[in-house]
Amino acid sequence: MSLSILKSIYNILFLTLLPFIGMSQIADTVRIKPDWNPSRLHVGIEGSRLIGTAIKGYKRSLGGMVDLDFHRFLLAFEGGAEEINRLKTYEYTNQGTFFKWGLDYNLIPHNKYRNMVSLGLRYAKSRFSDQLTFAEENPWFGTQTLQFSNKDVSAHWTEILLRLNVHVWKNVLLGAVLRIELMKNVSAPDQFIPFDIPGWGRNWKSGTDDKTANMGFSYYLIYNFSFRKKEIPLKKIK
Amino acid sequence: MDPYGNYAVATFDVLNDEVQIIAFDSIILEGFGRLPGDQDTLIGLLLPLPVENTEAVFHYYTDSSLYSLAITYKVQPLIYALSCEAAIRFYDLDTSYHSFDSLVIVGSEVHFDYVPINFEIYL
Repeated sequence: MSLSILKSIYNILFLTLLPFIGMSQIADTVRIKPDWNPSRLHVGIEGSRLIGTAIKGYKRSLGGMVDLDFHRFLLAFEGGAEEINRLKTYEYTNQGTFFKWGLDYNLIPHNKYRNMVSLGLRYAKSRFSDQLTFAEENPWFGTQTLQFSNKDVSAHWTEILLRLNVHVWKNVLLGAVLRIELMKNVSAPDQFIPFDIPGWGRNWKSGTDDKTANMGFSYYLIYNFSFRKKEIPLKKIK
Repeated sequence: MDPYGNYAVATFDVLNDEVQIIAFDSIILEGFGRLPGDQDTLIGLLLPLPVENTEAVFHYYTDSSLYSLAITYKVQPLIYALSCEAAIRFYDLDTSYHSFDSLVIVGSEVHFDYVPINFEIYL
């Protein structure tokens, strides 16, 4: 008697829970292990700096970038050199280098053409020297030629990036970067506050107003060095 | 466009006697010599600040007395704006010594736009 009651309870429980057991089996997914091994290296030259050098008489600069993929992340490194010579009623020269490194996160890893839209973060550092020469007219001391210079000034800041890479031909890509530069910090200069910072841009707005944030746009011509085949991850189906 | 001058401005007031005229025989800036126009009847006086130093010492001679004023300051060369001339900004003006009856610093920066007077001197 008691055995038949137990059987009945078991049958009722089984029939009641069956749909849920079935649902849990349908919802099971196969977890694909993320591929953290790098598969390719991007090497690029900054076109905006080359064109700037060609059209801006007072500025010569060169910049480049390298990045390496890890799953959806990219370890990125940028660098360059800049030389500015502003010749007006004064002469201001500035020359130095800059380096930026950080991570990008690919927002469209499933793209079949391996195009990329990514968000990134950079730590940037610049080292430079500059010089200001001008004539000061003074009714008491006459016209004086004044010269001030700073040696080995360093500056660092942080950048937030939105980056777009598009394959244009075989292993050639075009890259565009919109960057917001923040949290600038300049080491104590020797004689005057620098007007420009290589890699950052203008240090002053006007007068004695410090430029605390900056926005930049640059574009790259990139070559893709692929050293192993990597599957494009499948899109999740909801 | 450049709002910075290369001199501080001092005004003179005579204590207890508003109608008294202030006249110096000569005014000497140490390291430079006698300042031009120093024998005028003075209400205000321009104090030239040498760029290469951070202190300027002035001596005011009258028939019967000598007054001295030592000003300290900081110098900042800057490009005010790309289209402007480069300029020198004199700021943090202070006195390290003076022999006047009293002196009030009313503007610690040389700036045409908002600091017309730097020192009020009382005799």
